[in-house]
Formats: sequence, structure tokens, C-alpha cells
Amino acid sequence: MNKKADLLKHYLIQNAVPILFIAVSAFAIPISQFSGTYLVQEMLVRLSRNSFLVLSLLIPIMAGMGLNFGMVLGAMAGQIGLIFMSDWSVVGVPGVILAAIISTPLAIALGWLCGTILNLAKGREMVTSFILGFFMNGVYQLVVLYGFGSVVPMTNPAMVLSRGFGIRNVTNLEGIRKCLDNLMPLNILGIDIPLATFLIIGLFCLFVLWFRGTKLGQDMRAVGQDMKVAGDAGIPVERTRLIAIIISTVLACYGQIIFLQNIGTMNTYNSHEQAGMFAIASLLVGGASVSRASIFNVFLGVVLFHLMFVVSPMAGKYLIGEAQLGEYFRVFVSYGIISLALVLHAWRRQKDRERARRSLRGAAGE
Amino acid sequence: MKPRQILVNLAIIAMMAFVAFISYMNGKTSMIYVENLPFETGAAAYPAFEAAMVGVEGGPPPLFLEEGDRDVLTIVGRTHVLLIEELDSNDNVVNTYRVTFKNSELKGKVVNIVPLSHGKLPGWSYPLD
Repeated sequence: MNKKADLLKHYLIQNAVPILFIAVSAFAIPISQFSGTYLVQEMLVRLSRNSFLVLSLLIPIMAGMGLNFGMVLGAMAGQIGLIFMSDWSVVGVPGVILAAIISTPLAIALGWLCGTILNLAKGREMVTSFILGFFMNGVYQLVVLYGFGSVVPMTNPAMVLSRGFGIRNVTNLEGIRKCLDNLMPLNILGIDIPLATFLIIGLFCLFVLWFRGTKLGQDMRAVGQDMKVAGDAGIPVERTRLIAIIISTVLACYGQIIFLQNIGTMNTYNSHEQAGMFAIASLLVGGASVSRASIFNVFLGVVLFHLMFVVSPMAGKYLIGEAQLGEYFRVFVSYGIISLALVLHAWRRQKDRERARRSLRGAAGE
Repeated sequence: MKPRQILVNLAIIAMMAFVAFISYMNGKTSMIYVENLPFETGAAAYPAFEAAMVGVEGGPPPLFLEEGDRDVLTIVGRTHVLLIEELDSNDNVVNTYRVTFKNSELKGKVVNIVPLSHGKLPGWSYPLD
């Protein structure tokens, strides 16, 4: 009986965050008065928009590097590709492909930079990548605000600030808006399903599954388990970690392009800032931790996190007549959940150690 | 790095450059001016249409051009199919023309739909003054 209770307690601890979110959603959905069809449609749109970005976080976790806050570097690379694409007036799916190809070398370079720095800061990867994101944000702003139009030639005067250089605050992506989502339109019971985007996400999931089984994937798992042991076994630890970050950055770059093609407009100087925070919060809400994440966590997290985003303003409005509370709740939830997940991670590790100690004592007692 | 690895990397770069080039060529938009003006060659004269609806197949909603009108049309890629519906004074469709042209055939940014719809008579496209 004690063992069963212990197992249940362990299960609840392991899944505390998604359980908490499911409970809050179950409370908020009826209050928000949204119809089921509307919520399903919203969740499908948000799944297609955000899943790729969140999936890009899986590989660094596999390599034991924690949550890659440096994914904003990839997002910046993607945005630079989109700026060029807009400047050259390339539209539709070719525009998305062109933006992805332009930004790939940039994402690789930024990923290499990030990976090299993270190799110098082993054990403190998350905080290092977080601060690196802020640093690179400054470089990005400098390049886009002063470099574009002066050093980097721009052909479309509508994109450049009136002073003659620097990109305007908002970049119009109307030419590629929903081009992937509407590539294979599918409507079931009045619900639009962006099939092409889901196919791309599905391919990416298959890639992750395949990658885990490759030599490099196994090396990453070994490095993630114990760097010392992996190093002793002949695995090039630093190189493996570097590759993990490069892959994550490149995928985050593609994820940001998919995200922005769905939105149809780009806040040139801010769009990338929230990309990392919301993707990481989504993953954690799905039940992932700093050291363990799966594809299921990604989808569950995106649905639960964005369900909260959609219902909380209306729930706040109907509950206390103040929609602003819901808006506040969005920000509070995204930052709060990261803190909560980190605290829970430390707590879980403590509990796991205690459980392991208890089971050892039990085995010794028998 | 092994020579084979270098070759593979170069092949990947070449493939990406090729895909980028194809994407650019197929996704590049440009603006043309379409006009509905009378047209004369040495042998014959063609009056302008009473009115016409002009649009690109699979593109945005067509433009309505009365006799003497000129408007801006956005075209995407290298090859375009222009749909021209000739209208009478009651806006009923009299004739429909489906004309295909390539960017390389354009002599300038202006396209006169009258010679274009009559079998691409020389002078259907010319530079903007």
C-alpha cells in the first residue's frame, strides 16, 4: 500500500506542472464561455505556429545542456533572412524557402558562437545562454538599425527609415502570410487545418526520433548523462555539445520563420525577444524538465500554455470584469512557470535522491 | 577534413544556392502598368476596349480598366497568365483572352492589353516614359 502511495506521489511530483495547468484550464474554460470549435481552431493554429520553435529545444536537452535560451540567436537569424526576402520582394512559399536558406549560414555561425561559449561555461549553460541572448540582441539591433541601408544595401525604400538607413519598426510579411498554412487547405467540420505546416512539423518529429538512434544522437545522450564518462569512452564531448547547439539554433531559425509567416507581420526589433521565453515556458508546461523532454511534452505544452493564453483574458473579464487581469496573467504565467519548473526540478532531484537512498536502505534491510 | 567530406559539403552548398536561385526567380514580384489604349501598327488600327477586367490567373482580384485607363498590377515569378475580359457598355463580357507571357518578353514596365490580346503584336510592352 505504501509502495502504491509512494508511486502515486512520485507520479504527481513528476507531472505537477501539466496537472496544475489542466486544473486551471478546466476551471477557466467554462468561465471564458468560448465554444469548443473556437478553442480547437485556436489550438490548431497555435500548434502549427509554435511547435517547430519548441521542438528545437529538444536536442540541447538531450545533450544535457538544459533549456537553450540561446535559441533567440536562431530567431534573429531567421528574421534577418525575412528582412532580405522582403527587401527583394519575394513572396509565397519560394519566399519562405529563400529566407530559410539566407538565414541558415547565419544561424550556423551564431550557433557555433553560442556553443563555443557554452563549452566554456559547462554546468551554467542556461544562465550563460540567457545572457548571451541579451548580448546578441544588442548586436542585432546595431546591425539592423545602423548597418542595413548603409553597409548592407537595401533596394526597397519602403522598408528603410526616412533617414536613409536602418529598418523600420515593423516589417510587412503580407507576401508570405499563411503561405505554408494555406498550401494544403483542409477543412473538417468547419475547422481549418494547416496541413502543410503540420506535415513539416511531423517530418521534424521523425527527424528527432531518427536522430536519437544515430551515432551522434547516442553520443549526445551519453554526454547528457555524464560528460566525464562520455569523455572517457572516447566521445568528443565539446564537439558533440557544439553540434547540439548549432542544430538547435538552425531549427529555431526555421521555427521563427514558420512562426512569422503565420503572423504575417514582424516587429523588427522585438519579435525574437519573446521567442525563447514562450517556447521554453511551453515545453515546461508540457511536463518537460531541464534534463528530460519528449515530443509529447512539446505538443501537450503548446496546447496547455496557449489554451491558458486564449482563455485567461476572457475568464478574467467574466470573473471580475477586467480583461487586463488576463493579460497580466499571460506574462505572469510565462515567467512564473519557468521559475516554478526550475524549483520543481531541484525539488524532484532532491526527492529522487531520497527515494534512491530509501530503496537502497530497504534492499539492505531485506 | 576528408576530401569526401569536403565534396559533400560543397555539394550541399551548391544545392542550397541553386534552390535559393530557383526560389528567387519563382517568388520575385514586380509591378507592371497595364493600360487600355488604342493601338496602331503600320497596317491596322485597333481601338481600345470599351472596358476590361484584367487580372493574373491565381492572383489578386482583377482590375477594371475603362478606355484610356492605366493601373498597376503585381506579377509573381517568371511566367504569367493574364486574363483579359473585354466588356461592353453594360459591363457584359464580350470576349475573353488568356495570354501567357514571360518576364524576358517584356520590353518595359508598361503593357497595353489591346495589342497583347490581339496575338502579342509588336509594341505591346514598352518602357515607362
